[in-house]
Amino acid sequence: MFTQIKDKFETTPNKGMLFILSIILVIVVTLIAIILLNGLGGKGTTAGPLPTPTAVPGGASTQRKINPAQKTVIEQTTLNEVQTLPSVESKSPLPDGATRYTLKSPLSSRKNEIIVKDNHVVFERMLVPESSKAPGYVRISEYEKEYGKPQQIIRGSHFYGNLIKTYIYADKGFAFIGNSFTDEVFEIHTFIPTTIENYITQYGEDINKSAPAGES
Amino acid sequence: MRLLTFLLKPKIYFSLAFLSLLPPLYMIFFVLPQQYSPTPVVPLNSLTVSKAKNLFIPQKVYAAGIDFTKYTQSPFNLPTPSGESDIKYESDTLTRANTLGGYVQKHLSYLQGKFSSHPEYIDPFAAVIWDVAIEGTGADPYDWNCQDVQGSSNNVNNGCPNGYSSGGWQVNGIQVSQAASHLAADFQEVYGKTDGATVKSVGDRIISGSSDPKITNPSSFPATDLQTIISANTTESRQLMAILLMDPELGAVAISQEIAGDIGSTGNWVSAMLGWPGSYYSDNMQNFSNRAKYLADNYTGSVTGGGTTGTGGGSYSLDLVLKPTEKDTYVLNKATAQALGGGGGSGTGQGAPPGSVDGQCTPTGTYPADPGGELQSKYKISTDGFGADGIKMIYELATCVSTSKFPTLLGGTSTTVHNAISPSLGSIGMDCDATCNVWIPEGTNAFKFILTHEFGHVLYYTNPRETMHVSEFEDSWNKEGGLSPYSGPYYGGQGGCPTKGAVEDYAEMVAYYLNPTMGGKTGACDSRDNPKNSLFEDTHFPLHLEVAKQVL
Repeated sequence: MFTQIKDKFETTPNKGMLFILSIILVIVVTLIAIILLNGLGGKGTTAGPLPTPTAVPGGASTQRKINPAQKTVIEQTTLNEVQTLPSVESKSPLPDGATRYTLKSPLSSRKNEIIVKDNHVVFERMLVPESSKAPGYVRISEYEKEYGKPQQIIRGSHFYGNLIKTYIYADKGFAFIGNSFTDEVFEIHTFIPTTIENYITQYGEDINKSAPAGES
Repeated sequence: MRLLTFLLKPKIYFSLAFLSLLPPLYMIFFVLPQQYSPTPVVPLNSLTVSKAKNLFIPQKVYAAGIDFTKYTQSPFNLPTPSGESDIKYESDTLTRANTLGGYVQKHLSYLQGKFSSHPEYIDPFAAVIWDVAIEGTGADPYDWNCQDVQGSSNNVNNGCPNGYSSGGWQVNGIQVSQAASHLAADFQEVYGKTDGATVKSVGDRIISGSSDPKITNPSSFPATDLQTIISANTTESRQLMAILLMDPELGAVAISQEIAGDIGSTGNWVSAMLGWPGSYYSDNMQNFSNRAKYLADNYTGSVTGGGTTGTGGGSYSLDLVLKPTEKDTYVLNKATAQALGGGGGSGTGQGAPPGSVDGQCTPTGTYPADPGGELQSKYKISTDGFGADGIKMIYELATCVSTSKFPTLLGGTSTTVHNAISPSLGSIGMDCDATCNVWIPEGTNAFKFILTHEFGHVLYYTNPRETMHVSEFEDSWNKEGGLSPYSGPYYGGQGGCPTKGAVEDYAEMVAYYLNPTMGGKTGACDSRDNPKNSLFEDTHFPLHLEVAKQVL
């Protein structure tokens, strides 16, 4: 029996060589493909000037709403859910591949805003209603009671005035703009927990650090 | 044995080897190229392809595109487009945009007749720029918000229980209060009559065509003539007006007048927009131009869909006529503002604030022995460094306005008025920390007016926004500009005042309202001769006046 098998191969020496070569070829091609695919996955494809903030170690994530009037939960609400929000007015792409959605707000010249990246929400700006009876109305003292003192408070707002402050809880993934004299929160920002500097760079466009300490 | 012999056949292995090659070859030739290729760039004018089969095809098809250069020139003055639009509008948005422009074109003669001194302010494509590129409504006639009632802003059925004059009712880029004064005439132009049956047929068509949310309140439009609806001025009547403005044709006619009024406020559209509060316009002007250019490239001005019969249906296309701009004239355009503002001011004598005597901030009665003590006990105002005359001036001001809401609004705050300029600002000004300070040297020209201005800042910062009607004020600023060269663009060019914006305009509003006979010359930079009181002697600011009345 084994003689027959041996004869079989010996009678077809070229085919035997082809068999071995074909096996080697399969292995080589497969390896090349695997290496190339792994290489791509490791590099990422969304480098840009506005990278998603990096989470800081130990930072508490805002995996829940901190205000009932918020439309999204950071990193949970999906692109599809944002697109179906009835208050969406427009959308525009950002350089890093994210998409900014503007939504109706209580003020005509300052809209609510949601940024979606990689199919999930990474930032939301929500203007708090003026009426103390409206859903979502909240006071600074309520947030300070629940979350403690902010990491940093910066006075000066381009939109709301020189005496208005931004209260930053970057490691907890939120900040808000408020009036310390009335205890009112004007707007809330939620984002992936990050550093104070990243928050200011990424989402702190309203902060006016050079504002004088009064109005003339 | 048979099986073993079969397995030893070389053909079997050649076949297996070939089959094994297929997955890696597939990855190499199909998967990898996609991974490496950049995001496909959608070419301009190609966006309608995927939905083209679903589009209603107009009876007459025009080549898309108009020259956008016109809109970079006076009186529009938009920035020259640079780069691609950040938004590639979907085909349904482009269809609605073209319809919007087409309806303005259809009624061009009527509209330009209302702006006979500046017919170029009426422009079909400007309506498209405003609604789509700037306001971002997508030219959706059912786009609606109700700024005055938080929490119900997206549900038309809840209506707006207040805010008629504040401008809080906004339908697709125009507010009910702005359209009220000309809505009946517009309706007459579009539908030929304003009787109850016609109004009902239009309203019912809008209601039946609504969705998300469906208009259920009212479930059917009443058969009431339009003038009666407008005159009623109730929550229900204002909601009915809002519904009528959702008619694409009627809405287009109204919007084009609003834009013309904005242009006319300064003679320069961009200048007017840049003067509005916040940085939305200044930050996005280039984007707006790029988007507008994209819309211009896709603009046909052809109407798709219907609305002209009051019972639905119908379609037609319109030739687009672009008239060259021949004039570049600065005009205050007060007549236009009066026509668009929905009433408001009627010149002088609109009513002085309570507590003043013939508008003069000079109280009657005898002075107390210790006016400084009364300032402290009644108003929690302390003085620092003033002589007797200075204290008297402050006392007079406080007494003049004592029957307005000023004392109540100031009640929770201790304020010290210093006879000096602010150390931190280097000028007249105010600041607040645990208490507030106002810095104004005795003998300053227009002392009472400027002191009131600084107290206006104090009120703004120390009272809840709801009490101060901040959202309604912001809307008035958006629509009317600032009350003085110091605070906004309406008087832009009349002096070298740095335009400070909405926060300063709020203080100006308080100062003008509580000093009704003061002309409000806001400093050396204000080059106007004998400036009027913007609230009481200028008909351009009815929304500001309404806010001031509510606050003070």
